[in-house]
Amino acid sequence: MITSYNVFVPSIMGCGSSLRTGIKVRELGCKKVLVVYDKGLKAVGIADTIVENLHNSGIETVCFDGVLPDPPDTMVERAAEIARNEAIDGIVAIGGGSAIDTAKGINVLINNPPPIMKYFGMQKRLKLGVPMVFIPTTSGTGSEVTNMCVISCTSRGNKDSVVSPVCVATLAILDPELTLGLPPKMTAATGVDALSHAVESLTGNQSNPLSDALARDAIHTIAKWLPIAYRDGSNIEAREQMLLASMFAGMAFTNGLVHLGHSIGHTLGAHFHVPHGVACAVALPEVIEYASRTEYKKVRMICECLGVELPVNATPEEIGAAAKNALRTLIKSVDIPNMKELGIPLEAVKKVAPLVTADSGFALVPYRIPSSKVAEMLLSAYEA
Amino acid sequence: MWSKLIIDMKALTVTKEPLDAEFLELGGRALIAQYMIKNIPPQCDALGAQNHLIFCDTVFAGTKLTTAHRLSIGAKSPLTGGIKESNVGGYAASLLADQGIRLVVIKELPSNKGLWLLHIDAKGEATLKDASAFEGVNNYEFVERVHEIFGNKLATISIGSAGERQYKSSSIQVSEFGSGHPSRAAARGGLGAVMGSKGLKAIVIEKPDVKYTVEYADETKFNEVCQKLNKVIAAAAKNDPFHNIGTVATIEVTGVNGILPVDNFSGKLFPEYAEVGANKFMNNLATRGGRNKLSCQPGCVVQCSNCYNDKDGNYLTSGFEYETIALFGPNCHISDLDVIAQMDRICDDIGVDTIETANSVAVCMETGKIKWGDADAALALLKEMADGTEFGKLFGNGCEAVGKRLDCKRIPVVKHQAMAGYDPRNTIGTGITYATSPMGADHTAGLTMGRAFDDSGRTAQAYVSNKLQVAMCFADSMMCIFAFAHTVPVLPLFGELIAALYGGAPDFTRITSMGVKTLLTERAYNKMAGMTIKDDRLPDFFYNERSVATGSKFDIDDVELEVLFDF
Repeated sequence: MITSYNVFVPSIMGCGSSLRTGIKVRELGCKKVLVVYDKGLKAVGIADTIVENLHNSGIETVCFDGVLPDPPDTMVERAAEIARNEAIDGIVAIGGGSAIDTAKGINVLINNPPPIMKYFGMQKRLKLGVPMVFIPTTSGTGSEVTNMCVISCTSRGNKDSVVSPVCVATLAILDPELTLGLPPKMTAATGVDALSHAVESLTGNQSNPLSDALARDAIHTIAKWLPIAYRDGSNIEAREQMLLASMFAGMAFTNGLVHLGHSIGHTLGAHFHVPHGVACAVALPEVIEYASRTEYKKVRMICECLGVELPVNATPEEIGAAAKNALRTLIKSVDIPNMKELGIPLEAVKKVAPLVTADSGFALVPYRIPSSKVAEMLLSAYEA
Repeated sequence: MWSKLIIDMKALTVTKEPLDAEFLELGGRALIAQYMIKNIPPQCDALGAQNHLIFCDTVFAGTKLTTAHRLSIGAKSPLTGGIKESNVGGYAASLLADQGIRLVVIKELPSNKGLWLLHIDAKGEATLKDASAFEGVNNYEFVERVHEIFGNKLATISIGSAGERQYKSSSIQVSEFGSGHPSRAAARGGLGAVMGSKGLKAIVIEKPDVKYTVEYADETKFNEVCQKLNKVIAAAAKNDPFHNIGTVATIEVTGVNGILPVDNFSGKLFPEYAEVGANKFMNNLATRGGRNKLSCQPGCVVQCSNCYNDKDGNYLTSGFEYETIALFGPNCHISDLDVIAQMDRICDDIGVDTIETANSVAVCMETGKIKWGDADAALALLKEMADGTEFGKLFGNGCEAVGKRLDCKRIPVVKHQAMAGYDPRNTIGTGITYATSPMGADHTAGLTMGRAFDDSGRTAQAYVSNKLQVAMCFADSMMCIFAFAHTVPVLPLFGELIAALYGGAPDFTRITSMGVKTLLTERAYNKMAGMTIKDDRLPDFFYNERSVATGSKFDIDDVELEVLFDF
């Protein structure tokens, strides 16, 4: 099979690297940047440190600190209006997926008229925006190295994404020290998000040897270091490994794309306000078991990365069952709640299955699956 | 009240009855599927007495919805051995609707050899008339003579000598609105042979003195929604290459990316494709008094049809389409638009499918029977078919019959029907449609080109094929797919439209479920006719040979094909 390799974003990584933000932004030729983050990041002092760092390099800043989780289109459009009115010539985003995706959405709208929902899907001909620098403070989204942003569509009540070169950062700065303060629950939720990027991109129809290598390394790293980072947030080696795995998984799914686990995640997220990583993880073991029917060679790789030994002649069903168990063990080891523990009623879960198959990412599933089968998967995962 | 005509060719009787209540809210492809599964034994002989030939209007027949007057023709196909719905533009469906007729069923076989025509006059009287004088008369001459006898306020549905001889590639030709040329073809699946088997030369429909009045649940609402839809379609059509040029414009896209078939689906590029492309076509129209932007049916705003004249400015053909040009052209290594137009005229005249016929020519070239690019030799093959020589008769039975006789290893057919002008390795979703459509290798069942991530990659191809196959099923039950294509941003309006016409809830799922039900019914029919999962595959060479234009193979997992219609 012929595939394309997409490597988008130059990155610098290491403890303290966020202190190079000002110098790097200046090198990009920016004079006045929009700094995008949420109020929590200001409270812990990270935002102020980077804003000061920018000022010290002579960069003027305009701050947008109103980032909301699962960024709504209305918020993105408001922020973009600020960006246009202030005539900024660069964007710096600090935070998790929400802050980075907000920045991408703003960039889409700098030279393309709103609303942003006009641009959902693959966009090859959007007018370019301004240089963007992304500084992740969680290890999960991978958004700092991808070409897509996920936006909540308030009028339709679902999530959709813009996939475009306009969403690609000019530079990613990965500073593990910025993730030290992440509480255990968030560490777990973002860590399993990275895990779902890796296993889904490995089993997606668009995967290639590069994305496979990145995904396998990410799965291996997450299996080893996520439980450690979860138990001891101050372990800088664990934090560094998880940030790296998150970036690798992000690079992997930029090539291999994600599929059914994310369609489930987007649907549960939109309807029950479950954090993105948790929503993607609750049925991930079932998703990979399903994928094993056609992608059993890849699912076997997942088993290997998770340290599961399989007989040489294992059938696709056996491989799928083994992967399902191993993934669930890993997810449970960091106390990711199941749907019952999340307080979602069983009846409500049954009802969302048709919405999963209506999600725009459903086009990417390895092979067609009707909503009745999706419902079975969700029921299997409900109390697991 | 809509009516149906039942023509019994054994008793030579014509009966007019009210349309069955169960068919009232159906039309086109949807009606044909439901009619066939209830009335035609799937295992019957396609050319025998148990097969019926069905003509019907669409769900929105008789209304002002633009392009609502496609004519759907159905029967068990002598070519595929399965269910067949072949739809066609032209004037006939419009006049049938004006006559208040939604369905015409031709049953049984004549006891004695003979030829008849069904005449529906301006008073609405339908009679079978002896047509033995027209035996062996081809479509263009037939239409001329019909105009001499009955005048020109009419539409014709006719077969040429190919249909009379029951060639499995034979078409049913319908006259164009305005010109009356029999250039619109219900081409696929050999339905002309079924018409020939029944001894029916033609249906002649006169414009009625009193036009049928459609009953609406809410006429005001219908007109309001219909006007919205028509405006959306008309506005979008202004920028549609099919309007501004014609379907030949497609070649400008397919020629550069390996989708255009070249040398019997070799997978190569054809550097001279512009010789048969849009500029050449437009230039020839302009310098010879030809025309484009013509409507094949009244009220069409897409106007993709055309009239193509020869070098001396004399009428040669019309409804000259991309498929014909791609398959008689680059796929036979021919780059002369005029000679291709001549082939199109011959096919319309004797009444055969240009797609099937052009593929047969390519297979003759592949096996060395004639040389690549030899247009004269290709024309000679068409003449053999017209003359009914021994090889000509075989040739008329389609690409697979020819390929097998010549021991060809690369026969581009699915369910025994030849492929349209798209290489399935470079528009893989279209390949999935070819493989799984109950109709056989048919691009109109769901052409995915440009709609998945990458035409020659695997991602999202099955998804797009599934969505389009459902959409084409309901579109083919409502209107022309070229107009339908412009309604995608306002699809829910069709829910309102059907409710305003027939009553009930303004729910778009009424439309989508009609599509799903039709597909599943057609597949059930084929299964009962004896088709299996093995019939849902492409020929081996698409899996094994790389397209040298792109390096792609058709690398779709069988599982993806097998679960495509799990709803």
